Amino acid sequence: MIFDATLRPAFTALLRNKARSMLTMLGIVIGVAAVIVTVAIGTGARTSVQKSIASLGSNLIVVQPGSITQGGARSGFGGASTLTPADGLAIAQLPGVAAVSPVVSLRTQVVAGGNNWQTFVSGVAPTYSYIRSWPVASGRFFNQSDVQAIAKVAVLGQTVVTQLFPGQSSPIGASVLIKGTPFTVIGTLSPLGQSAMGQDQDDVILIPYSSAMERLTGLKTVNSLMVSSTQASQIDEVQSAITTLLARRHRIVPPEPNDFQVRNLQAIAQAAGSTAQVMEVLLASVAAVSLIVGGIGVMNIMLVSVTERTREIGLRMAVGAPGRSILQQFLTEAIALSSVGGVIGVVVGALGALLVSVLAHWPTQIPLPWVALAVGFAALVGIFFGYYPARKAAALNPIEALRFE
Amino acid sequence: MESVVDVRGLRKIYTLGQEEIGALAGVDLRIDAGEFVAVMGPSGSGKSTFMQIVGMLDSPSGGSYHFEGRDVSRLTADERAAIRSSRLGFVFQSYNLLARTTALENVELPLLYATHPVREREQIARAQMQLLGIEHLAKHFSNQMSGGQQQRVAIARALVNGPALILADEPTGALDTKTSDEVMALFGELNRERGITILLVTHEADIAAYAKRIVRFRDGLIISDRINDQQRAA
Repeated sequence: MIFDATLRPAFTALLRNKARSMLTMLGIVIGVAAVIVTVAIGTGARTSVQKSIASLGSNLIVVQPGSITQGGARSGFGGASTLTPADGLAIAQLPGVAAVSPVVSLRTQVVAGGNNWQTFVSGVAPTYSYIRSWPVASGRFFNQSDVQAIAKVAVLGQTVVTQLFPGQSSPIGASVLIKGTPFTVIGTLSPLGQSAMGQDQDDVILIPYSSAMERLTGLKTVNSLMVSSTQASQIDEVQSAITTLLARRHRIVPPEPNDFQVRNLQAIAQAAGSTAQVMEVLLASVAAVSLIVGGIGVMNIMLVSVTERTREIGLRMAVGAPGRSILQQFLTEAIALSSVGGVIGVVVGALGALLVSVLAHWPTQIPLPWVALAVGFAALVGIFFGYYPARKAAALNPIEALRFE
Repeated sequence: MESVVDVRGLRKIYTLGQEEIGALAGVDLRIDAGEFVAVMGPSGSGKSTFMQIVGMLDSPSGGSYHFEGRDVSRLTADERAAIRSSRLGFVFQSYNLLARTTALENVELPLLYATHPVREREQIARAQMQLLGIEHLAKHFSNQMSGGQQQRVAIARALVNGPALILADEPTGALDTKTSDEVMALFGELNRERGITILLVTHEADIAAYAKRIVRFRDGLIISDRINDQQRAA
């Protein structure tokens, strides 16, 4: 009964005026498609930022030396030379810590065969591969015995491989001169691509930290310590445990400032994520405005339709349609217009997002809750803007409606 | 005889700005089942207002109206709509068929609001069209039919619910003489052979002549109410 008295006449009426129904729906289609495309781009961007931050390493904590004051000038963090591999070994004993690696880094010219290249050389522990979630592509990573033996072995990033060994199938077993010391290549790293800041992360040579300290820097201290916690949720506790431990080991007496600094990358990830989210909400609200404009279009055409069909309304009332039934019929028409428009809008939006990722190479991702939200909102727009015309139709006086020319 | 319509002291006053216009000034009329009553009168005599109140499209300013024994003033809007859909049938001067809708769908329309299942609806509508000999028009749209054909479809629509009363408001007003006679003959036949109660509003004497009883209105009052002993049949 409800289907017959409302749904059928509503759809029949919409199909009778195909061109008009299409044009009315267009406003809703554009609104919903705009919401879908902006959200798809926003979500895609956020996901890729998060991915690149995650690629730095899971649950990562970085310990850097503090600042020092020399002749009144304060160096930045990392200026002091206070962290030692022994600090790293102590941190590794803390609960919640999965792995620790010292990092000794220097930028230098390296030579192999007839090629030379300036790159970053990082002295790290075997755990570094795990901490950065960065496996080797070929060969092997150095192990603890290489560290103990202060071995002259190196693992090359993909950029270094292409620069130093162009056209060669494998650099493994070859020799690379770093600051005059020959290192044997034992492995290559899988490509990591650009960092979130646009740095080429593959332009690097990894060697055991002991070798870097003994043979290259000649220092007893390291540039930083990379720590990975077992669980992301524990990262704050691990961070404060490290702070307490190092303060004790370095004999810091308050109010003396710490000679080191402990940071985690989650804070950075959150900041980047929330920036992307603000943009996404902003864009989606602009798109929502166009959806409301589409809704006004629906109301406009429904008002025209009610006026045009005044006699029909009068007749339906005369043959026994209660006011409620007339209201439902016109409301159904408005909701049908906007919901069908909403569904078409989702399809158009999805195609638009696909086009953006194919043509502009932007990552896009359509979150399902947003699809439901967009269609639901479109239907709501239909109810909101359809109610007034439907109310107007139901309130018509049947005698006047029947006389209407 | 059982009364279908029973009005007592029926009054209707329209307010146009400051002015009050009396359309009905106290009408008493009883229509029994099986009657064929023609209401006649010049424009402004109140005959159309009377018809609208009897059809429950308008409410009176005073007096009482009982339809099949029920006090209409005590009914809700939805109850009146339910009576319109199941007990009343309207035939208008301008047919009022829905545009771009087939004749069959037009005939089905009142059944839509009277809770009939879809399959049954089409059957009832087809049967009714067959009774009137217009089943060949079932798939025609209103703009594909002549005035006489359209009015026959409208009559089928009025009859489809098996109503207690057919209200015909100037049903021949838009038709030529020959077609008018055919349509009026149909009303006479429906009344004679199927016992359908008809209330006809017209200002033409030769149309009113088809009725069994003729009631004349002037200035909102009944001035004559007599049995038509020269009823036309064809």
